[in-house]
Amino acid sequence: MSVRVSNWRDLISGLVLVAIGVLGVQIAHGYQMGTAANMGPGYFPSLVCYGLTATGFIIFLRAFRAARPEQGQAAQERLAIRAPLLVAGALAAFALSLESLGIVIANILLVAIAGIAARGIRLRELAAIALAINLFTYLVFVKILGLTFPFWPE
Amino acid sequence: MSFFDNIALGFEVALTLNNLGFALLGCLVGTLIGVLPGLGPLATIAILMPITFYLTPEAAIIMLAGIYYGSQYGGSTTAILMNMPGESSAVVTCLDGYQMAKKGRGGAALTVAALGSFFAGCVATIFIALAAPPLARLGILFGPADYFALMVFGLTAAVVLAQGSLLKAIAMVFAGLLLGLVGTDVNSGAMRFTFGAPQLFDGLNFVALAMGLFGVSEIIDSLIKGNRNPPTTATIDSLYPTREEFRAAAPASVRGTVLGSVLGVLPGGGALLSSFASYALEKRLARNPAEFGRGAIQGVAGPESANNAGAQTTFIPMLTLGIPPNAILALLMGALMIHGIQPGPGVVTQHPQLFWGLVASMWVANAMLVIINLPLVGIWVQLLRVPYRLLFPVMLFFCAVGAFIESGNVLNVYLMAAFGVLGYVMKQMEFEPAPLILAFILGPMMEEYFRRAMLLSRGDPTTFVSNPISLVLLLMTVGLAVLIVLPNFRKVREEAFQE
Repeated sequence: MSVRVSNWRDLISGLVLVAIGVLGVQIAHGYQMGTAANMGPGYFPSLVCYGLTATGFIIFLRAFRAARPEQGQAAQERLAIRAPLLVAGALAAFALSLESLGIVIANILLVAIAGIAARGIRLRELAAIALAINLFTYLVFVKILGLTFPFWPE
Repeated sequence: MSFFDNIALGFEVALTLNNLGFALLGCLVGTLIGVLPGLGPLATIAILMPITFYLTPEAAIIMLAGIYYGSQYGGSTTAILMNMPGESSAVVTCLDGYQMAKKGRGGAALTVAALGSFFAGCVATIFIALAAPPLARLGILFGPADYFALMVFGLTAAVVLAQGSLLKAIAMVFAGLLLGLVGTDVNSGAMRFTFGAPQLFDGLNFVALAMGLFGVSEIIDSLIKGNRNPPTTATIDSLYPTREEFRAAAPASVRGTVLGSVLGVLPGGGALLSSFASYALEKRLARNPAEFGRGAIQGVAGPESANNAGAQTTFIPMLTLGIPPNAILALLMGALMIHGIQPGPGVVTQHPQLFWGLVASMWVANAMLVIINLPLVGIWVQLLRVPYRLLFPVMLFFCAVGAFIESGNVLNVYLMAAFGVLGYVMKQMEFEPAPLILAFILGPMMEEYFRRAMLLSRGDPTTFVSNPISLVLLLMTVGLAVLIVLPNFRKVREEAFQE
């Protein structure tokens, strides 16, 4: 009898949870455990990590069960990479440029990278959005809420 | 102070120009996102939360709460007119609301939905005013063991009512607890799971976590699904229901209000559960159930009243016991904590302006929402034409700035981006983020109560069953757990989520 994996997503996510749990237990054991009556900083985290490891392991095991028909939907979709990368990239560009280049340029970079992710957006629309959020930043965040941003490149 | 003094104090707070303005702003934003598909109250509250830190705590919570119930009103508009639930608890309203609209009774359905919601909102407000103070007094009697048991119960309920696999929801609870432990241990001063990064000494930033999991991941999700063109709108002839329609709708609305008020208080409850339960109840009570799904007005009046009542009474366990029953309330609780207010039995007595101001503002917001939604319905429908491609860079901008301004630290922007991607991957792996955020909020308190209870009992774990309050709560938890295992309940649960 051969072992067949019926759900790769459960297999991988179960393994990841077990890995985090085991690592967590290792780290927590480095802290003082204390006793049940007088718990140290390691006591509760260890319990939580044991729980995480155990549930992760059951999820891992269940990946080998016969597939049920209703599990289909999300499992058949392919994991998209483009949109999450571009969204994270836009945020990272904002964070990277904010302190050195100022928020005006950070906003423009954010909108520009976000624009690549949005299909069918026109350059004119992007420029309008960039202008609008910079105006908003100035009027609401700086003038009304009185926040201090690095505004322009130093 | 008597009940009326309290209510008077509440209105004094809610009717200041400042707070009225923020209530209106919250209601407008809530209605807007309720109308727009792909942008729910959870994502919006997560995204706008940091901005509210610059307001007074009263204004902040009034505005965020306004977004929550505003989305309940707005969601029903698109559900009825274009069979598109702008918001998840409006899914039920689509069933009969859209059928009514197709028969030319869309206006009547809208009126019934708005007035039913308003009625429910008024009743729920009074219910909160009456029920919360006694519950808070009860909460003061709770010892550490009882609180620990209560939190276990709350988390179990959240797991039962989460969508998808129970096992994965349990895993998310443990993951949330673990993330909540990051930072300095309050008892010993030891750094835990900080990997030496000083930015983590105060714990993982709640705003970055919430915005990432609920805001950014939602944006990624909508981008991938792409924006469908809005379908054609049914036309509205008259907003007035006929006498027969009114006669059928009124009792359904009353039943929905009662059901929603009760279900909202339960851990794991809230607007979504209330609307489903009310639809099922109306269908069972109806003289000819065959009408349901073909434009039965009870199918609009009941669930719409129930979801609004449920949305409001979910505040009770959060404000009086410090237990958020769902993810939205977990965010609101986090927002209050950042304002330095610890939700729990002390809120009613220590922050009467906040508590009664919020209660009064619920009524004020409901009155505003009827006006915003009924006569102005045409404007909101027009807004549907705004394509998602224009909306999403703006949302991303609010995320980026929000994560930054709350702490003035760009690290939180990176953290939020990482949690956004993680949230998206989690959804693909069929893990729900809601149990995680609940556990994250409750984690540190759970540990604290667990430690204290064990200290008081000198390390004897039977303290959790020898205490009457915690025993009852743990028995309820076991009851819930048994329910999960029973195959019958499982089937019902799966069917309920499929509908």
